[in-house]
Formats: sequence, C-alpha cells, structure tokens
Amino acid sequence: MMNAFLQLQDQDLRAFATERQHSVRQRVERNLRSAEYVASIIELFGPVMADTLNVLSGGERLPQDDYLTLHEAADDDPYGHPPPGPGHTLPTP
Amino acid sequence: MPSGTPPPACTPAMEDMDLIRAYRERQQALCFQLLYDRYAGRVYSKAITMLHKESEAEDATQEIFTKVFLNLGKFEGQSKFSTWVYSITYNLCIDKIRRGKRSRDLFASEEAADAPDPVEEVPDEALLSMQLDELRYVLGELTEAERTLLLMKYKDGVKIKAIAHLIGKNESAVKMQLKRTKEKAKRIHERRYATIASR
Repeated sequence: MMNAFLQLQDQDLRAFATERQHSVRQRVERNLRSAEYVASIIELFGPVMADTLNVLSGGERLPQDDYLTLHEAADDDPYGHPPPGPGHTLPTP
Repeated sequence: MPSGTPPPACTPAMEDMDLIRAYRERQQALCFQLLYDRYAGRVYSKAITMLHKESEAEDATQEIFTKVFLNLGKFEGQSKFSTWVYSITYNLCIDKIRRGKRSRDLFASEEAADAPDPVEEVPDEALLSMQLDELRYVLGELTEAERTLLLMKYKDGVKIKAIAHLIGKNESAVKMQLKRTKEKAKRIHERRYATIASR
C-alpha cells in the first residue's frame, strides 16, 4: 500500500499524462525547431554579417576567396553567351 | 560504430545513455519522445511541489525539456541522466521563485515559529501513515515553505543534503526545519482527527 505522499505523486503523474503530456511535448518540439532554425540562419549568414560589421567599423574585410562566389568560368548559366539563333547552323566538318 | 552502419533505432527498452547517443546522431523524433515520456511526469510532479500552481508547473516542464534537449550535447554521462534532469528542474524552479519575488516563501526562516522546540523527533511513520485526505488537510494548514519542504522530502524523495544545497542552507538547519515542520504537521493532524475520533 502506497503512503499518502506517494499517492499524491501518483496523482500528479496521472494528471500530467492525461491532460498535459501531449501538449507540453508539442510545445517543446516547436521550441526546438525554432532554435534549430535560428542556429542554421546564424551558421549560414553569421560569418558574412560579422565581416560586414567589421568593415563598417573600419576593419579590413576578409579575403574575397573565403566566400563562395560565382565566376563566369565556373558558372554553367549561359548568361552573356546567348544561344545560337534560329537558322544558325554549326559548320559541318 | 563502423562508418556507413546506421545507429540502432530507438526502442523503449534502451537505457537513457543509449537513447541520448542515438538522439545526438539522428535527431530522431522517436528518441526524443521516449526520453520525454520517461521523465516528463516526474519533472512536472517536482515542479508542482515547488511552484504549487499547475499552470506554472506546466510552463516550467516545457522550459526544462527545451533546456535539456538543447544542452544534450553537453551531457557526458558523469551522473545519471535523471540526476541531471532533476537538477535542471530544481534550479529552474528556484530561478522562477526568485524572479517572482516569492523567495521568502521558499527560503523563509522558521526560527520564529510559534511552536516550542520539539523534545523528540517525530517518526516518519506519523506522516506516512496518514490517509490521503488527512495529508491534504495537513498540507493545507502549513505555510508554503513548510509544505514545500515536506513534499520535497517525502513525495519527491530529495535528500537533506540536496535540499540544503538548493535552498542555500546548511544540512543541520534543514534538519531542524524539517523536525519542526513534522512536529507541526503532527499537531495539526492530532488536533483535527483525534477530536473527530473521540466523538
């Protein structure tokens, strides 16, 4: 037979399981997703923002090569090189 | 674990530390749910001991588990996972009490209690043999600090040393406070139920 203190604890556990467990879990999951989202934004833009602030406060900016940039040579986008027009045929060997 | 082999899926039979490792590796919702379901009720029960209000205990439980899962990477297994979770629980509840300017309720000194010093220690049995409705009545007659102390000791099973650490007193002060609270609880019980029994 449980003593009255343990019965109180048992009542707390049952009340939580039936009324609150699910909703609290959903709220925790939402908090964790938000935290993960914020962390990924910081991870993505943090270095760029830090460099911008550094430059704004008079510092030297990081070498350009540290960032991923699109160069024409590395870009497979044909901007600047329009496709051949209609009727334009390649010379046959 | 060899590379390319996925870690085992989380199951209810797994130990806490295995679930934690699996959660760290895969961030799997099932691992989260198993750990949460294992401890959420007990965390809520401890929070309600200290905060007294169900809505506050619910909010605290949410904050505690958010904190636990955000800091899971720091848990190295030096102590049991339950010990770590409960210490976060008590510290967060104490912070909430302090922020709510209710610290006097929890940390109040019982030196000026109106009762004389008990000559003999009231045996635990006197409290543990009460019926549930009797205990509810007795707890309702105690101050918030006295109620918290009894519930921490007998409902949540917190050791005197841990209580002393939490409320910032030394062990002998906590023992004295507990002794007086037990005596007061016994007197309240006798005053109410001895008269009923004698009718």
